Amino acid sequence: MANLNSVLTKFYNEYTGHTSKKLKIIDAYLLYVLLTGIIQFVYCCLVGTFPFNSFLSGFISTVSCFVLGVCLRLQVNPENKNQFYSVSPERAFADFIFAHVILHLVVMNFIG
Amino acid sequence: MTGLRVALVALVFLCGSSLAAPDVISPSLRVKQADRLVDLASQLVKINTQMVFENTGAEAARYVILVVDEAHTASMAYINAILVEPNKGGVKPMKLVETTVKGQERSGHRFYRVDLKTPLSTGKTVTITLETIHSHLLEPFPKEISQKEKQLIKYTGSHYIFSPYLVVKQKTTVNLSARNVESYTKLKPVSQADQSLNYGPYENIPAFSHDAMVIHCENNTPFLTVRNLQRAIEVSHWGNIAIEETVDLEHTGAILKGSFSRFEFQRESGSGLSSVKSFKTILPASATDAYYRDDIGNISTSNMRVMSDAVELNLRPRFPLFGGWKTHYVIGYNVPSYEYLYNSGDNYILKIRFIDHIFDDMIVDDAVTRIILPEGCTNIKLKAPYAINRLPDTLHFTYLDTKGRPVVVLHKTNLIEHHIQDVEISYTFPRLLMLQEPLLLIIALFLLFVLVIIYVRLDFSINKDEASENRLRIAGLVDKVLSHQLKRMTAYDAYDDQLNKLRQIKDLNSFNSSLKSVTSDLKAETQAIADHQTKLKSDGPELAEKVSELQKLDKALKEVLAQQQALYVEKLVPGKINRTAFLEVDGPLVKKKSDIREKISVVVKSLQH
Amino acid sequence: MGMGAFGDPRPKRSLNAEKQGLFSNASGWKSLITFTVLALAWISGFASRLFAVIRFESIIHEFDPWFNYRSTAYMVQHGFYNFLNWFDERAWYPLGRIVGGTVYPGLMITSGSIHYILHSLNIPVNIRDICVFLAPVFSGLTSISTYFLTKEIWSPGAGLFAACFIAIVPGYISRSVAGSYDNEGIAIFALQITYFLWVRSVKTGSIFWASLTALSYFYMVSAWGGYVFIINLIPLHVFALLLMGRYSSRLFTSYTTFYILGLIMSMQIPFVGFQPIRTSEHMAASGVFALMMAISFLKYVQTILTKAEMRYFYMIAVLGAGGVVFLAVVLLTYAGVIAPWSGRFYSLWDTGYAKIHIPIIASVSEHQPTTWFSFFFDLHILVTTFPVGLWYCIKNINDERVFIVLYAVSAVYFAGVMVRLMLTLTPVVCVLSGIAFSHLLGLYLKEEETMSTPDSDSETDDGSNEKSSRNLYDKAGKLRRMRHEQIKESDGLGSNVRGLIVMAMLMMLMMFAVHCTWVTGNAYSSPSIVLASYGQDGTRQILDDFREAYYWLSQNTHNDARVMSWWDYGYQIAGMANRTTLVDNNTWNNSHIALVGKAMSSNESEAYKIMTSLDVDYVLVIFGGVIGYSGDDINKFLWMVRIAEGEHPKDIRESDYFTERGEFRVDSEGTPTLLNCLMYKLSYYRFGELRMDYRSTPGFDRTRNVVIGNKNFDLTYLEEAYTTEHWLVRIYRVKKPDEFNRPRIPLSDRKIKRSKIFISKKTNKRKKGSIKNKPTVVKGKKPTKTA
Repeated sequence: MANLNSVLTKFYNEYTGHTSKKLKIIDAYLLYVLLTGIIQFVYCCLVGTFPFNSFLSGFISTVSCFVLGVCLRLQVNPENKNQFYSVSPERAFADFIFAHVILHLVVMNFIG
Repeated sequence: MTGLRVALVALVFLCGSSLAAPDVISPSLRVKQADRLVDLASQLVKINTQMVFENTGAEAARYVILVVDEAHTASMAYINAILVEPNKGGVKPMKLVETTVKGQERSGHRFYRVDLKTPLSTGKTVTITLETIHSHLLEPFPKEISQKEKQLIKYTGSHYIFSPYLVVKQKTTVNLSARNVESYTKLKPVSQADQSLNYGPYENIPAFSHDAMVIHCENNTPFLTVRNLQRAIEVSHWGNIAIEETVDLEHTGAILKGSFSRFEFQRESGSGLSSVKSFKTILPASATDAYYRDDIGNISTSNMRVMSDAVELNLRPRFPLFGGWKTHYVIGYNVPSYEYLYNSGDNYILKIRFIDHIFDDMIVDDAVTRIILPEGCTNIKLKAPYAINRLPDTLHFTYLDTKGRPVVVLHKTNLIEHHIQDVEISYTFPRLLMLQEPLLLIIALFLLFVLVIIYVRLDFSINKDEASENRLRIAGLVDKVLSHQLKRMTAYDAYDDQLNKLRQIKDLNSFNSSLKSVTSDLKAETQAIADHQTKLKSDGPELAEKVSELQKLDKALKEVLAQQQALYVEKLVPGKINRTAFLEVDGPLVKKKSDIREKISVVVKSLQH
Repeated sequence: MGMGAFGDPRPKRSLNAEKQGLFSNASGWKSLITFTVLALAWISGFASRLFAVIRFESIIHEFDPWFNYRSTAYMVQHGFYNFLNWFDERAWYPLGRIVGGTVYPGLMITSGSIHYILHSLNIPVNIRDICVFLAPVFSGLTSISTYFLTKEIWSPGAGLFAACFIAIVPGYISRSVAGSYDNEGIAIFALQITYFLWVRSVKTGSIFWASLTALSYFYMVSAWGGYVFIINLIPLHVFALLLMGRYSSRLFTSYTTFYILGLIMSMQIPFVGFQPIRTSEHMAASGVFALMMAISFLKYVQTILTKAEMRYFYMIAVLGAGGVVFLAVVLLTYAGVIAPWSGRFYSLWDTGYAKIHIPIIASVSEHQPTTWFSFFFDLHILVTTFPVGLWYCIKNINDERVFIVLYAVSAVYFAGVMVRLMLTLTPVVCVLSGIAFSHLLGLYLKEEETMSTPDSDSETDDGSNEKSSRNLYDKAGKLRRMRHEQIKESDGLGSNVRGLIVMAMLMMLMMFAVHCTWVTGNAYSSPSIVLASYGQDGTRQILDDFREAYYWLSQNTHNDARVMSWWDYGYQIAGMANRTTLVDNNTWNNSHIALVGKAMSSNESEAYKIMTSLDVDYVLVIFGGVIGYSGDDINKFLWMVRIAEGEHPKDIRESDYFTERGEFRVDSEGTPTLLNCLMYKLSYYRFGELRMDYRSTPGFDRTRNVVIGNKNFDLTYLEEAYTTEHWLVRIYRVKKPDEFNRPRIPLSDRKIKRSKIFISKKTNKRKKGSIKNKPTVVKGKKPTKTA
């Protein structure tokens, strides 16, 4: 347990120390989305999934937001620059918006 | 009823003023001699009555009254009167004016007045032929027959000619389509000969006499009715008129009772006599590109025969038509416009048939003809040979139209072959409008090209930031480096080749001469790469490093080649070295060379990504 | 045919260009060549699909296309929303069918929107023509997307080869000739473009491309049930890359974006509904998604923590995640939330499965396992060259090539299982053969200076070919490697040998083009609703019996007449005759089909009971005995019996229809059950009297080459309503209960005391008297007639 604890503390220190502000903003967004997703899931477990498509669209849209956020974070992260040599941060953000437009159009349609 | 009314509206209109006062049947007129021919040989009833009128009174008669009796009015599709003047040589059509007659206002008969050009003075005679054609008057009897039976029809008429005047002497001949007559009323004198019945002569029959005549006989001629005809005529000023007819056809003879047997229909000759397997449609002689199809595709069974004065289509419906069976098809063709379209300046006249031939002795219950004129026509006027109901104009949109083409819609019921006559449509069309369509096309294509050009020339990328431009520049530089590298390698290859040649041929002179160009190439390329490398250093240090590595390798390669050259030139060619020793020295060099090449290719590959 | 140049439609322009030496702008020339080749591929692909239109006419083919056409026409007429809510009461009487919810609407929407656009531009194209020419037009798009896919995987040169191949390969043409208006026609395009976008997004790792992948996947889902192939292949690719240790953030972005967007979009199609989260077919994708998330999380943690700590963490995470996912799937399947694999899916793994459990699936010829012959027939030399391409890909493996390898391997397997899935194999075969050819030609055409002299006797066409292909390979950026290979090669091979090899390859390509044309012209261009027979002098005779019958139905039966026929003809009856059918090609209700099968295989009175209970007005059977058409109902009859037996084992037994020796025969040795069943009677009614010519015996069936066993029989409950000219389609009217002759009561008798005395009709005497009366009446009539 102590081991785990030390790991976590180290993790925390590393994170606060070595992460740029931009990424921290994205991380905050990710955390928020994650929490929303968890709340939705718990809600559906407690209350039921009745309009199933509404539940699905809500839940999937949070998952997608999360996933897209993670992707954005990966692409913006300067450490990954060698992997995403064709994607500049601006481009990444534009793509992110593009995917969101598609996503929310579909979700609007699906939520019923 | 309506059919008749429509047929005569025009005539009535022309002499509208005379309608006001009812006409009088002059008692002094009488029919001296009448010959009637009733033709029952087809599905139509054609009645032709030739009457010799004589004026016995004192006053000259200015007109005679003709009448069609109640039973025949509803079915009457066509009426015509002809003045027969044998001495003046021939016949002359006369104007018929529908009218009312004193004392007969309540009756269902229809009266027509024929004005005589020269009033008929006392004792004189005039010969007039009245021609009427009736559709749907023959009644199949029995109404339903089985496939094996023959079709019998019943005609109900009058033994006497129906006339408002006294008829002194009259005869009637009835033409039949077959010898087989089931029964006929026998008002003597009557006789049957071959395919006709002769009634009369009857003498001094008073006016408005009627005596029922019933003829029940065999008639296996096709009883086909076009229930609905949609005819579309699309006029193009580019030289073509496209005509398309949509036909709803029904066999209106005796209805098929019981089952249809294909076996009997194919193997027994007497089976399905009244059914219709095919019929002939005659198109204008200049018709081309004819097609015959229905909702589910072409009807593959038709023949087209081009004759000098017409194109004859032998149409076969998908299935034989038995009594009560229906079919539906579309037939279309093109005709050149110069035969139908005349113009002077911007004024055009289109003369085209209101309906066209579909089959012999046809009956068209209801016809709608839509004449689609070119876009931009104005001042459209119609001139019809007989009364046609003109419905409100509509618009039609087709290729390259902007505001739509005007469509003249004409409607008429109860038509027969005699209605195949030209209608005249006059309109004005500014000629400049002809250019509209090609211009539209040109503009559209031009816009397309412009769009493509704009797309290609302008940069629509979302990120115009420095990083990407930088990257692009770097990529460009790398590309240049790569292309120079490529050339350099080609030069090396040439170098290699020359060395090989030297080894084999040992011709030092040619080697030296060709080497010169190779080395100069090499120098130039290496210099170029070095230039690019310095540029790269500022933008992309990583890549610059790789390029410098490339240069290092290149230097090594050059050295190896130089060693080899030295070996060849100094030792091998003069023969200062024996074979084994040479191979010992040369072997490692070759190997080294290929190693370096391998490394270079690795670096090049990494640059490519 | 004008197809000679199709095998290698590399334009001669490139040659001229080189001669003129106007190479100042190499990339301009390159794109011009690319553009020309693709345009030519499109045109040739389009043109070779028009055989059916030229030989016959612009008409919808076969069976399913008629349904698609009918629904498209409905959509065009009534609008999109009405189409989605369309309840078709003309199918599956009396059940009806909710069409909007049971079709993949992509096809209809595609042609509907083309129709809409053209009409808003005032181009009055008939919707039928759009439907007919949709597949050929899309084949051009397919070849372009294949070009991009191959370019992405290998090189532009290989892409051009692949594009040319797919434009004319028979395996694809078989599903996309003009008139074959079916889902596959556009689905292959969607498949290829999805794969291209996927490869592109894996390469770049961009969200944009991944979103586009998801969009085109959405189009594929809307178009064809084969989308399941994509949603399994892509996760498989990702999984394989993970196993190979090729995880990258690019892979993460592309896959997760694609999956999550694709998931929610695929659920927009009513027919698909919630399947993507409920059925096992889609579970692989979500499993891989979870795995990706877990791995990326680990990788992220890895960047921060040291190795030892990492290992500890790793253990916990992997065990935990794996266990949770596995348990969840098992539990959900067990609880019934996730549906187990469907029957058709099982039949992919076990070829015998369908035969035993689902006779309806097995009865369709295109669900049979593929024969070797049809591999060769459909792919010709590509069958032999595609392993070469596969080998090259494996040898030079990278992320994208893993994908194409997996695609090839899985498609080969599926194509072997089902003839129909040949279609999914064809594109990958073209891609890999394109790679193989371009690579081989690249090797042998390298030394152009020495080549040009010995090769001068070959056609200019060849010359242009080598030059342009070399030109293209230069740009491929693989020069270094090939140089090497060539240097090694050049020691062993003289220029003559190379010339020979190149010639041989060109020869093969030429033969391929010829074969493709031949196959397309002969095997795949028959509309199957219009038959053509050739006389001995080569004249062609068209047998249009199907349309004759359907048109008769549409014109001469009342509007809501119900027509019973075997399900094969359901779509055609609905499409061409516009009449209500009981069963059709959408075989969703097995028991309903079995009921029809039972009616067909029972005797007349039994069948009459079924038919009245189903309100049948007309019965339609296909009978080929007169002209020797083998696809008729008697030959399909055993499937009807089998399907009927599956649902009604008490009433129908297959063994009753076989002779003691286990043969199915319709001659005098056939079993009485067979010779008296409805199908037999309807097929052979009055056929016993028919002689083909003077020598043959009456009732000789030319399809089965036997004289039929039961010749003289009458129908009690039905009457012949129509039979087409060549007896191919026979339509019978089912009599109403008050109409048919009860046995032994003649018509004239019944007429006299019809209504009220019906009950008091007691003895035989009356009947006898009436029988005696009848002939006298006839005799009395005859003389008057003749007189």
